[in-house]
Amino acid sequence: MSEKEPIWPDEMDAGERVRHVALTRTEPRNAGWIADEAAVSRDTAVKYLTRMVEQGDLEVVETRNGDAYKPDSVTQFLGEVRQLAEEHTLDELTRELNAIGNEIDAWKDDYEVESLAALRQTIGRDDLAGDERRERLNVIEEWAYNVEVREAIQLAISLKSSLTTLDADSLSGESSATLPQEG
Amino acid sequence: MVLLLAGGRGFTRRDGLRRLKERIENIPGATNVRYEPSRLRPRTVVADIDVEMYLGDAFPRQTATLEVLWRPHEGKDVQRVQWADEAVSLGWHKDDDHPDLGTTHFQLEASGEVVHEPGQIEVEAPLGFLEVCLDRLPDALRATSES
Repeated sequence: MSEKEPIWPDEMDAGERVRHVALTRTEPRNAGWIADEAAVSRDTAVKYLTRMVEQGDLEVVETRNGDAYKPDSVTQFLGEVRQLAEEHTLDELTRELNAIGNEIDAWKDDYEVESLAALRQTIGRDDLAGDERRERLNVIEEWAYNVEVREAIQLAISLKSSLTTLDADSLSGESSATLPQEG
Repeated sequence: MVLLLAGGRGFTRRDGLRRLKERIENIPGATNVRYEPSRLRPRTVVADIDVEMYLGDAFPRQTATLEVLWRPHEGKDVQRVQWADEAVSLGWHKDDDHPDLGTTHFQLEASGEVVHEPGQIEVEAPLGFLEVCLDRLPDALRATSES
């Protein structure tokens, strides 16, 4: 028996199911597809999708099959940066940068490459067995993920610093005193 | 320029894994639910499982781990739901390891042998996929204690 009918946790209502399906897409999907996956009617899916577009969570892409939806990458990225800045200490963020750097260094050694792009090029080598190629493809995916998370952590550190400076200024009442004088 | 470089899939991944972790925290008998390798850079969600509490019944093996990997990918996501205890390692894998068995295959390792079968799961959303696996898992486990 092939499982094409989705099963969902009992506690997830229609809105949560539509939201989860829409926010986990890597390519745009139309309302009918999302409705089938979320086990809701098309009209219900459209109602929630429209709300998510208005809130900036989704972007609409016009396709041959009508409007299609995918996560708004800017909203998603900024949300992640904000969450990293709010939920983690500077020390935690710094230690994660170090862990990412160490893992990338280990991959460079293991595969004798200088960069992610160089590792991608090795996939075309004739001497790689199927298992070796799959392993490298996995590492390529995780390497790209590491790079993406590293960028977000670096921005989160900047955001934390800016917020700390703003907070310190407002607390000490210096913000107005440091403004340039007119005239 | 990270958005153009990497397409933002990593942030989709973090969001999906957050929902998977919330769901796994609600599994009976699941404790120490955590991200691996780290909370900041999650690739999988791992939980320790009290097997009898999970099954609600007596079972010859007491503890296990459940590991769920989800990696969004244009065209086809990679998702694995893997159970491991002292006797068996089994799970449903949506990846490219056995394309002859369909989109998803079921893998059972026990007594030094590995068996692969068609997984027959066509669901795309990570929580929907996990739910199908959780629905099948008790029967798959009981089958390993009968053989």
